[in-house]
Amino acid sequence: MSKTDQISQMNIDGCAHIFGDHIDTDIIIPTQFCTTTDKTELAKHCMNDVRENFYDSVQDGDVIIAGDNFGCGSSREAAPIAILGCGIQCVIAKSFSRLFYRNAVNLGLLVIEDKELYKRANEGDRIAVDLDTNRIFVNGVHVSCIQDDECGIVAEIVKEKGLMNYLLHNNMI
Amino acid sequence: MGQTLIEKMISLKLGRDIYKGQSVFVPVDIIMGTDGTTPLALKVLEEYNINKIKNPEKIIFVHDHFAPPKDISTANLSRMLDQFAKKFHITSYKEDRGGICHVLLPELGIMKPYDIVVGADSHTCTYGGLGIFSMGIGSTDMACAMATSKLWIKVPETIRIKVSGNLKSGVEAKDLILSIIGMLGTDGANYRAIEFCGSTIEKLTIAERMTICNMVIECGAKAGIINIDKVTEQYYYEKGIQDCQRIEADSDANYLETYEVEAEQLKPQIGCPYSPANVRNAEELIGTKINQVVIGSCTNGRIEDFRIAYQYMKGKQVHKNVKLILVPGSHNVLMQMEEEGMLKDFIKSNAIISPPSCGPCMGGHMGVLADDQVGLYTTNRNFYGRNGSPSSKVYLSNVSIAALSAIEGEIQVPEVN
Ligand code: SF4
Repeated sequence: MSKTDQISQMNIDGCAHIFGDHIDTDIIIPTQFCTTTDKTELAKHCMNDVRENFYDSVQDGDVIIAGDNFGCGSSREAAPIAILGCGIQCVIAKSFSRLFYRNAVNLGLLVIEDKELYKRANEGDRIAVDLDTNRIFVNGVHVSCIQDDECGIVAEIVKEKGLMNYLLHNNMI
Repeated sequence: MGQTLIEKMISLKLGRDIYKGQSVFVPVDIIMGTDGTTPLALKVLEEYNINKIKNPEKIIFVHDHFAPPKDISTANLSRMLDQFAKKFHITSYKEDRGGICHVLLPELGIMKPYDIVVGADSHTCTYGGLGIFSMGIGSTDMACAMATSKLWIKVPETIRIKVSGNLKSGVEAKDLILSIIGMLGTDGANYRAIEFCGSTIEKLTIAERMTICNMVIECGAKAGIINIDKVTEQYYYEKGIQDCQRIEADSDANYLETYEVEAEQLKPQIGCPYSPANVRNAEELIGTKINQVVIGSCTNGRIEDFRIAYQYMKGKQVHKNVKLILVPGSHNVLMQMEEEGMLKDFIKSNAIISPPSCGPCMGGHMGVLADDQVGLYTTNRNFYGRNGSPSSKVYLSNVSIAALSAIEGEIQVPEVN
């Protein structure tokens, strides 16, 4: 399966790529590469300033784990698109910046706020997320649960895997 | 239950009482997109086969991030906007009469008091200075808003910041917001709105209010808001909008936090690499060597800012080791610089005059920094790698410090009194 194919089932199972606090959108995808709308082209530059060849090191289904305020800075949707283009379906961070969170929800990139996991997971650990039971596993050990405090429209958009699907299914477009 | 100003504004639009935490679809009055973000929105519309635009008159495209285009791919993105705009009767402001979106839109006078404005650019929060609920959105959001004239929002909690007293001369609105960002941290207002009030705020010009609201995103805020008062009414009057209804936050409104700031205490501030929240008193940085100074951007690229710069630059020369780039925020700003006679003197002082554009602010275009170079910018962000090479550094300051330092060749701070 290519990196840009959709993973059909939203259960996550992959390796951890760990980043620190305040990873901003200029790190995720620098402005000079935002001159295309092509997902794979964007992905090739993802995180490159802080981790060389990040794109090549990622396998489909891998997970980014980060500290506080992930995705701060610009409104550029190129940031979550570049992450999706790497084959990553899920980012778990202590906290997200508002715009990144919003864009991720709208695009169907799974974003989970979790204060604990960051301390428990190491680079390369196997991370699994069971969305039926809301449990998160590190190397097969259950370490955390998704605290789902989203309700209303946001939860429905997440369930529909993106804003445009939500609009379609609710006959808004 | 009492409502904050933001809750009141959203309730006014929806015709029912709305409170923090609720997720609602709201009607939007203006939808703005730039050459940087709109192409992705158009791609979303195409992927979902959406051939109808709800209210083209509410939509504005601005070519500013890569304007004039720097290469073939950005030229093609710009052309994509124009072709789409033509097909759907959308107004598209090219670089020849445009400028930076957040300088241009307030000049146009198309926004009304208490409008809800969304823009596919994070600094859309700027218009809070005009009593508008404005927030940055992404490209899928923009596609949704173009197709439906609506968008979902989660009603934010509000942090209230009361600023009292007089700012000393030499201290600018930029210093006030930098110090607030330093106090709150880069995520101190994440998901929240910030309401500014107090005697200092009431005395600020529209340009200064926009400088303040422009930077609330640097502490994560969804929106900044300064309520409509005489100053705002005058702005709207000049734009031909006469009926300024006024609403107020309730006295028992539920704020997350309230801060009191004494304006008199405030000294010039500098945002040090690599975060706008890494704020220090400017005097601590005196003597720092710099290679490039940029005066411009949606934070400090208005005519008022160039008038300040002019006070320092007139009859002086830019230091031989420094490149000074002046970026007028819009075509109008450039015209006015010419009309007021500054342009000639700026050129004589060896400043580089850039076309109205985002330019060096986001390092994607003109004025990019080389390895290890140091910049002093009046812009709003200095993230790692934002302005050029990852080993370059940018300090963020007010206009006076930037202008004086360009002459001195190192960071210098005008006297404050
Ligand atoms: S001037 Fe800078 S901050 Fe403002 S819109 Fe342009 S790139 Fe963004």
